[in-house]
Amino acid sequence: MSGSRTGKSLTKYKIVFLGEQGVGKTSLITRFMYDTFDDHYQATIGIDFLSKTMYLDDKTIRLQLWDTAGQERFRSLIPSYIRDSHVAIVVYDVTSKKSFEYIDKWVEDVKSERGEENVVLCIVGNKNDLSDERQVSTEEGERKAQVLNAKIFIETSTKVGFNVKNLFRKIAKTLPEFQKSDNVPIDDSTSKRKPDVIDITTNKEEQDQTGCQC
Amino acid sequence: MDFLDYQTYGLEDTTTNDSSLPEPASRIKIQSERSSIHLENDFQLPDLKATNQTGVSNSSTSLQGRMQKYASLSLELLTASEIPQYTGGESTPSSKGTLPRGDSLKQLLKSKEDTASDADLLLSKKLSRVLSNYSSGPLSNIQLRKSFEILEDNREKLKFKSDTIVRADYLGFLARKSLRSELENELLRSHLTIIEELQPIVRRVKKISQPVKSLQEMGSNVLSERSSQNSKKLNLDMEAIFELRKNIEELRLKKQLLDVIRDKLTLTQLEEEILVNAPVNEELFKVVNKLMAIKETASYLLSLENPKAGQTLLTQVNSKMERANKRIYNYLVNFFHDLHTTSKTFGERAFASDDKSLMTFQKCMVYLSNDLPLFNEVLNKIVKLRSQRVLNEFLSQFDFDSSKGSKPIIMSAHDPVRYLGDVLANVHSLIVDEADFMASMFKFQELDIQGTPKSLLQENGEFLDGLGVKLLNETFKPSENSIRIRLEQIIRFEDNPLVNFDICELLKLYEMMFIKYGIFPDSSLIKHLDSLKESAGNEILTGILKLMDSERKAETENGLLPPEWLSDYLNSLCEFFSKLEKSGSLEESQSVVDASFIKKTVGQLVYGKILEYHQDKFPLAKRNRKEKISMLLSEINCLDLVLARITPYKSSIFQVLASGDVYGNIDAQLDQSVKSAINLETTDLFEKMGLALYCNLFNMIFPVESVEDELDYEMYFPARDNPIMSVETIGTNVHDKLNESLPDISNDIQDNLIFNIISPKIADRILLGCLQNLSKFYEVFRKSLQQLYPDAQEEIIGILNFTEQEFNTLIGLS
Repeated sequence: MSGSRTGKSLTKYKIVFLGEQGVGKTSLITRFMYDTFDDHYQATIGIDFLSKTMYLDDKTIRLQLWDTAGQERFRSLIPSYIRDSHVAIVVYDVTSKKSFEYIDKWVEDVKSERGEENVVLCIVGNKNDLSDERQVSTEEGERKAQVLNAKIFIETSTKVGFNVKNLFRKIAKTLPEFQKSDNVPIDDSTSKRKPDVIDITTNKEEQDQTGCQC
Repeated sequence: MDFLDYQTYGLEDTTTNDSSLPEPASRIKIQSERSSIHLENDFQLPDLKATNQTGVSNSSTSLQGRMQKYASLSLELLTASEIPQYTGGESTPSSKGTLPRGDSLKQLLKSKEDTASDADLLLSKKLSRVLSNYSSGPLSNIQLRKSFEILEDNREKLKFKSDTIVRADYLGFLARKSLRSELENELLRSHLTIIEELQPIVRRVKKISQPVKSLQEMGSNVLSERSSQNSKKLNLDMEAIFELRKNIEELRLKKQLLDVIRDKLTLTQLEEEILVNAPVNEELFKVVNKLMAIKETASYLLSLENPKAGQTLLTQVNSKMERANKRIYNYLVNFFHDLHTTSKTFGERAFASDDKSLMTFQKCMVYLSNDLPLFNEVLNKIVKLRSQRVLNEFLSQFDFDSSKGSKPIIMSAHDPVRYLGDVLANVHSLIVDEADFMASMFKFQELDIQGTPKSLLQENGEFLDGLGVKLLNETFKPSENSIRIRLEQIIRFEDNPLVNFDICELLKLYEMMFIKYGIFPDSSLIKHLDSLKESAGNEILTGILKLMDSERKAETENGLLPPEWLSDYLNSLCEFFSKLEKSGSLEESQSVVDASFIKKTVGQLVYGKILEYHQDKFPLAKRNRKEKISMLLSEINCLDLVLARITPYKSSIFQVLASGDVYGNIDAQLDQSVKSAINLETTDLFEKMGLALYCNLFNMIFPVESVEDELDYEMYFPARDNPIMSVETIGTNVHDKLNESLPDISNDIQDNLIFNIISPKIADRILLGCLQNLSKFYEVFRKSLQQLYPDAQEEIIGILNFTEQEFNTLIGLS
């Protein structure tokens, strides 16, 4: 009886979102958490926190998403959150060359806090839907990710919901919890049934539809 | 009861089938030839039961008839000596059995008469008589039939070997003989068993017989008494009967009512059992619901005239509720202990929102909220366990543990702001974790609490609403001190105002974030942060003022230029102002910098430190005009520097903090100093030109600067009475000096002022001020003299030999 009433085992993973102001860090989280997009921009004050439980391959993990403020005055807070994070997602805006150039600084911060090995580094090019205003090509992003030794590079569009689930799916696969069960597909039926579970599987059709933006 | 040898029923029947009864036949050779042939046939007892079940209505009567007939025949055969006539009076009804029909019987009898020997007749008669003795009435027949049925029913039990019994030989005879004794034995045995079973009943009956007897006696006594009393009223009193019937009806209704009340106000035995022994689940909750409903009903009973029933019921229900609550309490405590232990051993645990055990836990919390002391005790235990975990987690961040893969916070202690940031981020992390946990455990809004009395949620809503947040705050209470100490040990020793400002900002931001995630604004954690923030804020001012003092000591001689300490101090202050401006926290009500801060850091500097500095540096300024001019110039330089440095913040910091008056006062002070410098310098120039006495005289009569037109010159007519105003004296005092000093006057001023004043604008202003004063007085003086002495025009022009234009040109005003 005591076994059943103590719940399931739970591993927590800290994910910290980094990047310049207005690149879409909060939007990325909102799209992932609630599958919505808010056109109205509101700057993040300090550090925001959101968490989500994921049931994958019969395992339960809890993702703690730390959304940092891009404003200069909050920069000094960020290293304290990188210090014990498992995943660092550095976001840039494909329509802003400047935000892309600042990736190096963010990655440097991550590496100085966590070293090269102790963190899963992801580089995300957001606002992929604004093809007319694009200033950073996908190839440039890929090259930068390679140079910076990032494990994941992906372009997303939080506005149209492109590749967001895919990003988190990729992240989940790199976590130690799921490394051994790489080939096991994520259990759709189980996750859809539970009320507090997020389904991070990607709909192929949806991806195909939204994939031809650029 | 006697037993017959059925072998003797070897009677031939044309319609005989397998189930037909054979005719009785004598074992001895006294039967007819025909009979002896049939004796060899196997005799089979008829299946009486089967016959019954076939449903033939008259089968039983025919069977009895047949049996009677067979018995009679047997007796006839046995009583060979007698050859009576077969007198079977009853005509057996026809049946499908083996017995002959009425006609066949007659035929048989007829044939018998013909064929049977005398012995047969005799035996038949005898048997008939014997059987007729047994079957003297219908009751005997029934008994006989029943006997057979019983025998057949218990065939297996009695090991009744029908085959052997019906055998005609000696074995059959023995079997028939022993059958009786066996049956008797069996009967005896069963009787014995029954008697044994009856024994305890008898004992009990015996036991209660005496009281019953006495009751009977008493009853009879009472009855006899009553009968004796009522003997007079022997006639039936119908009214009394009706009354009694009415009473009965009332009593019946009362009983029904009481039954309903019992069902409504008491627990059944099963419910009592659930309350005491069943596991904590839905069943128990149902019982508790019923108890609560009873309690609610019992409260109505209290309003009766005699509230005893209500009170008793309430006492009982309360005691049961107490028991149920204790069980729920134990369940909750065990639940949390299990959770805590498992979390400790196997890491953090989580529940799905539809987890059964979680829902039971939440329901338990709702139900236990009825008993506040126990409810609070559970909460205390939960808080104790969780706060222990929080404290351990918090302190673990300061340990050097390589397995964690993250730097311990202590590593960043060299950078105070980073260290505090790490500590606060750690606390932030713990708060959101705990808030998350509490929200998942104590979310009662979505709980399905069907059947729960509404009052439970309404009354206890205040305890249950936001319980998670309350617990979160309670959980952090024991850790507050540790958190405060870790922060205080850095803040207390930090004296750099800029660092302290960063610390303030950090504390303010984290205060906001902690409140956002559920920490109450009036909680002691926030109060601690507030006091630390205040302490750091005070340190900013102290640090800045200390900077002002410490720098002043290391002062070096630098002429009339502003001292170095002032420049350094203003550098630090402006750096701070820049930080303050960038922080964006200026307009916040809780900003560490307010109007008094400006008064202390800037106002005190101007009206305190700079003043003191000049008093120390120019001690003879009050007596010595030159010294005073130097002091004024130095003051002008300092004030100008202060204004120059704080002007960028005039429209931001000074305006927001309503410190515009501080800036204005400094500006006015500078203006005043400039004016004083102009006046002093002008006086000095007048002395050089010999005009000082006349300037004083004129100004005493009417201020020279107020003179606007020629009529104003008449104001100075009384001056003629003064001895120094004679034309000769004027000539002696003024002419030479004027002519000597006038060409160099501009250079003199520049030598005195320009080289010592940093701001060229102020230097120009002073220079211009002096020259304008000179020019104005010269013009007024010359024209006044010309009006005072109209007869001595030429002399006057000779003494003041420059026209106004020439004078202005010479001094450089033109």
